[in-house]
Order: sequence, then structure tokens, then C-alpha cells
Amino acid sequence: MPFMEQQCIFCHLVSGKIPSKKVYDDDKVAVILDINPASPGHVFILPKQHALTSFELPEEIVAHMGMVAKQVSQNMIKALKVEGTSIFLANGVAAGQRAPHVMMHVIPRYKDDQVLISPPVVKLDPALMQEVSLKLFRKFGKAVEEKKELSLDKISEMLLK
Amino acid sequence: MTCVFCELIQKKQNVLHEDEKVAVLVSPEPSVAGHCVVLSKQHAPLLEALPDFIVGDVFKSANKIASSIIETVGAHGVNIIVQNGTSAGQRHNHCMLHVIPRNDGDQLPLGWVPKPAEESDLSKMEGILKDAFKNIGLFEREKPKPVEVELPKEIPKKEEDYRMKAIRRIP
Repeated sequence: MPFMEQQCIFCHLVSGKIPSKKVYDDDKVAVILDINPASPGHVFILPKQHALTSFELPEEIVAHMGMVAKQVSQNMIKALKVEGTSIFLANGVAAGQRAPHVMMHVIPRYKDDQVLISPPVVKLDPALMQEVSLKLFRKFGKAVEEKKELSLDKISEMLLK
Repeated sequence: MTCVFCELIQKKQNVLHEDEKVAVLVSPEPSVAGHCVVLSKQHAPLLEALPDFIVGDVFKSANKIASSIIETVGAHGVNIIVQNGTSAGQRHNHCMLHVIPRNDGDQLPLGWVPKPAEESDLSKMEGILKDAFKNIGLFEREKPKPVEVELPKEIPKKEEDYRMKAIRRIP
């Protein structure tokens, strides 16, 4: 077993070396109940392959985690009679990652819970937005000329209608 | 009712990247510069309304995009978030994955305060969820596209056997 995996508590949770409340298990992932939950029923999906961030995982595993998240959410909503779920993945400490093994949280959402996973709509400096968006469009290989204007204002208007 | 996001995808407004099933847009309601959303082109209000393989593709794209965004905007981290249902804060009736670049001290309110749970509550929950998650599995795969076979345009008529004429005359 490579060094990182020997040291990783979450790899031990997956293998069962450390006991945990495992609620689902297949060849690629394990779903475990969080012992310090955001709300009752909070689980996380761990890939069995050790990886610090989701970027190190093969894309089939990422896709599989997504599909499991969907079905976990679906069955959780039925079983716990909640109205929604938050699915949350953090890559990097700045994003709120606390463990050295990537995980996808699925959190059942109750009325008036104290969970804050709603990206706020922030009024940003239009010049900055334009600059970053152009950078992104360049990165993704679009002809920047085609996108003379991103018309972000227009879109906001549409959304506010 | 028309969907704002279906409209954006159709008009190719804000669209950074698209393939057959998935579109990546610069978020029209950003939390930070570089905030993108990943959507299925097929309209679905909730994640559960999408077939499994499309959900897989959306997550795959989000993961790819996330690493590109980090590089492009020079962020220290990234969140991938789905708000599934209004009680999770969903605001539009088209399900989407948020990809949000994060920096130390950006003070975005994304997270929760972990509270230790009682062992008895956890055990009870384990029982409920283990039972509920028995249904997980059998992930829907994409059906292979039907193969189009080219039919020969006209089947050449065979010359009739001369003996048939004689046979038809038999009453």
C-alpha cells in the first residue's frame, strides 16, 4: 500500500480498518454517515481510490460519484421526507476542504437548518467580470472577437423579470 | 413557461463550452468573478429528473472545467455545488452545478458548522439510510444509437419463370 494511503484515515474508513457507519458500498465508492453532521442524515461519498482532490481522479470515477450522489439524494429525500439536498465538493483548503481525501457531501435540507450552501448573488465590478470572462473565453478556445460583448447586464435583466 | 437557462444555451449567450449533452456558462448571477455553471442541455428541474449517464457527464464536465478555472483565475480552491430543491436554495427551474473558484479569506458563506451527533441518533439514521440506499445501483447507461442501414433503392424485378404463366391458367 502506498505511503499516502497508509496514512489516510479515510482510506481506512473505506477498507473497514477503522469502523464507520457505512450506508452504501460498491466497487468504486463508499457512502458513510458523517459523525459531525451539518444536519441529521448528512453523508459523504468517498472514492475508494486515494486522491487528495477530484482532479486526481479518473473521470469515470468522478462521473460515478455524481451518479451515486443523484441516487443517494433521491432515496434520502424519500426516506427522510426532506424537500431537498445540497451536494457539496471542496477542492482546496480555501474552498473548505478539511480532509486529505476528496469527498462529496450530500446534505439533507430541513426547514430553518443552519446550513449555508447557497452561492450568493454579488454585485461585482463589471470591468473585473469582463476581464475574467474574457480570460475564460480565451482559455476555452472561443474566438474572443465573436464575443465582443458578453451582455451580462442584459442577462441580469432577463433574470430579474 | 420558458426556461431562462435553456434560452441562454440556445442563444449561445455566456456559453463557454458545450458538447452534445452539457453546456458550461459563465454564471449570470455570479458570487465571484469566474463563477461558472454547468447544465445539461436537456431541461430538467431537479437532478433526479435526469438520466444517470447525463448526471455523470455533467459532473465530469464540471470537474474538468473546475481545474481550468483554477488555472485561469489563479484561485486557491474550488467548490462544486448542487442546490437540489428550493429548501436547498435552488432559484431556477433548471438543475445546475455551480463551479466557484475560492480564495483564502473571500468570506463566501459556503459551509456549515459541524455538530457532533449522539451515537443513538447516528445508529438510528444508519438503519434508515442503509435500508433506503438498497435501491442504489443499476446505473442507467446511454443506449447505443441505432445503426442506420441503407436500404437498396430498388429491388430489381426478376424475370418471371415462363412456366408460371401456364400454371396460372389452370382453373
